[in-house]
Amino acid sequence: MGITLAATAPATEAAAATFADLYRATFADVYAYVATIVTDRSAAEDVTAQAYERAYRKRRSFDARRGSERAWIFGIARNAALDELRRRSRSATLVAEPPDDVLVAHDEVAVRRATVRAALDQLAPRDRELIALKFHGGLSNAELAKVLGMSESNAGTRVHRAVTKLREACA
Amino acid sequence: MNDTEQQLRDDLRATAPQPRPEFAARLERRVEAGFKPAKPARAPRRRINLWAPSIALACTALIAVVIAVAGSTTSSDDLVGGSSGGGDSALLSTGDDDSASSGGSAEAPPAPPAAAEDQADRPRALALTPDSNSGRGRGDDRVVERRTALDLETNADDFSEATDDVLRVADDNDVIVQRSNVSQEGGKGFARYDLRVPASRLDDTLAALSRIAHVTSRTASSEDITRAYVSATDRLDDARSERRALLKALEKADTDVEAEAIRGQIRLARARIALAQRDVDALQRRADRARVTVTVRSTGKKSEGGAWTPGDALHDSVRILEVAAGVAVVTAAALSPFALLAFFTVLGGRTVRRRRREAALG
Repeated sequence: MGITLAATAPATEAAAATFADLYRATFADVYAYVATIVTDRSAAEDVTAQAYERAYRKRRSFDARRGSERAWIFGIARNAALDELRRRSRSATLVAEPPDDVLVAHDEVAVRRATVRAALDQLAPRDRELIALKFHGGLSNAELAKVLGMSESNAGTRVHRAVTKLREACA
Repeated sequence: MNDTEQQLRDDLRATAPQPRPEFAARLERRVEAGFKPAKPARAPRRRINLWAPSIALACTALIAVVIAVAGSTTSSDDLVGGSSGGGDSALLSTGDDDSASSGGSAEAPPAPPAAAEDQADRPRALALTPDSNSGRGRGDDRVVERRTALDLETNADDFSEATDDVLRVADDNDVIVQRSNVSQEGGKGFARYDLRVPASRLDDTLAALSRIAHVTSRTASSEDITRAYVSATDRLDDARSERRALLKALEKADTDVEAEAIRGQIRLARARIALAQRDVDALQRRADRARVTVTVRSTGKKSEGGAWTPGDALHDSVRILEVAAGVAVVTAAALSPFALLAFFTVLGGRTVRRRRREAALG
């Protein structure tokens, strides 16, 4: 069984000529990815802001031959998010915030999406990160491989396994 | 892609966390402002100048090359100077003619005023008596014969000039060339000079000879001939005293027979005087003039001297590059362990940091 789920629409790298353009093209996706990882809204905001500030400071070190700008900014965001998780593990127990929208289980779509969200939260952090990078961040397998530091085929395989686990959790 | 997969994709996209508008607006403003107000201004990070170690390495290599080249060009001169200097310090110094004369005068027995011809026949004062230059502090006067052997080595081109210089030094220092033997065949040559050098000028002469060519060997020795000299002078004095006595007896002789007998004894005394005088003079000459044997050998190699030609410049340039390359190789070899250590430290640091970050996901 192959991976058939498609990623979200890719960001237009051609339009990201300046850092502000890159920010606007990636901000929502980066925030979604970070929030999925750190499971804390205020922490996600801090980490996202920190990631963009780091990227801004290091923008001259970007090398297009080593990957796309999108993969680059997600790599920075991932490091910032992992640093935040490490800080939390040393200082306090992570407590996930409840979702903002309180579900009213009358709508079928809402019920299904609540199920997907709950299943996502039940996934192992590594699988959750893969899902977040692929479907929240909208990265291709090649970009995902760059961010995680692995081969593209390995990244595709791991995404496939994570999606399978998500489906099983949703069932 | 079937409907279920598309539905899951849409649901995941729909459930993606959305940023609060006020946060998005605030971050947008920070991005537009270049994050200036986000943090207090940091002290400007000092940039690492990668040229500094390179320049330092180049300067070190240059200094090493200069020292190496200077050392190689002056080594031969130093060797000659060192040999002569060492020889001088090791050389047994000779006495001075003037001091020898005065010392000899003080030691000489007072001449009887009546014997005018004896005064003329008095042996010269002891030569080389005080060994003032050697610093050995001998209190009594000694008569010493000096011997020195000096071996010189020169290139084939310089052999003739060196042999000429030996003779020139001999002329300048009142040296007697007792024997000389010069032979040259092909590129190799050999010359030997037996010199008699005035004792008072032995040091200067040896120094001048040592400057002619590379000194390969220099040995010095001395022989104390004081006993033989004293014995000879005593015999001379005795013979003269006997002659004086015989002359007085001859004045008082009454008969011709007696006078003839005394004259015969006087002839014998004169013969003994002559013999003793000859011995004294021979010993005196040995003391007055040191024996110096100089040998000059040609190595057969061509001289590297002369004008500095473009070929020499090319050779020197290649030599400098060789030395510089050698210095670079040695430096690299010395620094390679540190470079490897730094490389693996950085690599290990990155790996550890990455693993710690990954562990946060676990």
